[in-house]
Amino acid sequence: MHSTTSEPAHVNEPVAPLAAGTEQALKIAVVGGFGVGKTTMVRSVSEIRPLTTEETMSQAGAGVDDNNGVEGKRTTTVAFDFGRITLDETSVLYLFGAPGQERFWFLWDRLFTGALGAVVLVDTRRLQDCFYAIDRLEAQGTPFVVAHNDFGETEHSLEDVRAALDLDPDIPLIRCDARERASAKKVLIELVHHVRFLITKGAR
Amino acid sequence: MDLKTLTWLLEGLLERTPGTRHALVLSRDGLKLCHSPGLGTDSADHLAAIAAGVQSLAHSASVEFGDGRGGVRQAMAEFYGGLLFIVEAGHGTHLAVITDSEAEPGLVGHNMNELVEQMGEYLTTPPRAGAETA
Repeated sequence: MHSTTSEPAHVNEPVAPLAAGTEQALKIAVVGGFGVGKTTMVRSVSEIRPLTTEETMSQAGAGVDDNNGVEGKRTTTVAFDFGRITLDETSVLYLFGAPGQERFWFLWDRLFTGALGAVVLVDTRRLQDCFYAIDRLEAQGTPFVVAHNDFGETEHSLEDVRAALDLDPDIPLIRCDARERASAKKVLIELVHHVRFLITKGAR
Repeated sequence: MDLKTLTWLLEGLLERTPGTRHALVLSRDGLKLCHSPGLGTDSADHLAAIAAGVQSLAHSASVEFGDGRGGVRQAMAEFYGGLLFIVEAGHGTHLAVITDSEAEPGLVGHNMNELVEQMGEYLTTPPRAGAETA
C-alpha cells in the first residue's frame, strides 16, 4: 500500500464546487528542478483535493536524484500534480505540476499542450536545475514567470537571481513561499498579469 | 539483491509466455532495477520512468474510484504494435512487461503475478538511506 500520495489534511476539506458560470478554463504548468517545491505549490494553492503522484524515493535513486540541499526530501513526483483554483465567476485555473528529474522530461510535452503559461520555481542553492525549464519555455514561446521559492536563505537579492539566470528584463521574477497559499496565489496572479501584458503588447 | 537470479526469473517469464518481448523490474520512483537482456539500457530507463508514472496515476484512480481497499492490481496499455502490463511486485517495486499485440492478456497477467510470488523478498527496494520514515 502506498502511504505518501494524499495529504490527510486535504481529505476533510470541503470540496469547492466549480461555479456554474465558469467559461474560461486556463491551464498553467508549474515546472522547475528536482525538489524545488512544485508539488508543495500545487498542494498549497489548490481548492480541490490535489492529485499528486508522489512516490517514496528509493535507494536505487542515490547517485541519480541529487538531493543535495534538500536532504530531508523523502518523496518525488513520478507523473504530475494536478490542482484547481477559481479566479472569479468565469475563470478557473487548472494547475499541472511537472516532475523535476530528467527521466520524466518526456512528460512535459503533454503538460505544456494548451497551457496559457508556466511558473518556473527556482531554488538559489541549486539554480542550475531550472535552466532546462527556462530554455525549453523560451524555445517554445510559452509565457512564464520565475518564482524564487525562499527556503530561508535570502542573502541573494532578486537582482542577483535575475543576473545569474540571465533573465530577460520583461520576465517577472518574484519571491514566494510555496507552502503559503497566499504567496503561491500571488505567483499565479503575477503570471496571469504577465500573459495579459504580452497579449496587449502583441495587439498594439 | 541477487541480480543474476532476478534476470534469470525474468527470462523464464518471457520464455513461458507467448508474445512477450521485454520484462523489467523498477523502483516505485521510476528507476530500473533489472531487466531482460533484449531491452537496451536507454529503453529500460525510459520504460522504468513510464511505468512508475502509469502506476502512480492508476493508484490515484483506485483511491478516487476504487472500493477503498487501495492498491493497484494491474495497469495496462494497448497500443499499435503491442501492450504494456504493470503489476506491483513487493514493497517499493513494480514489474513491467512489454508484449506484441498477439499476446494473451489473461495469461500474461497470470504469469506476471505468479512470478511476483516467486520473486518474493528479492524485490524490495528500501527507502533512501538517511531519509526519515513516515
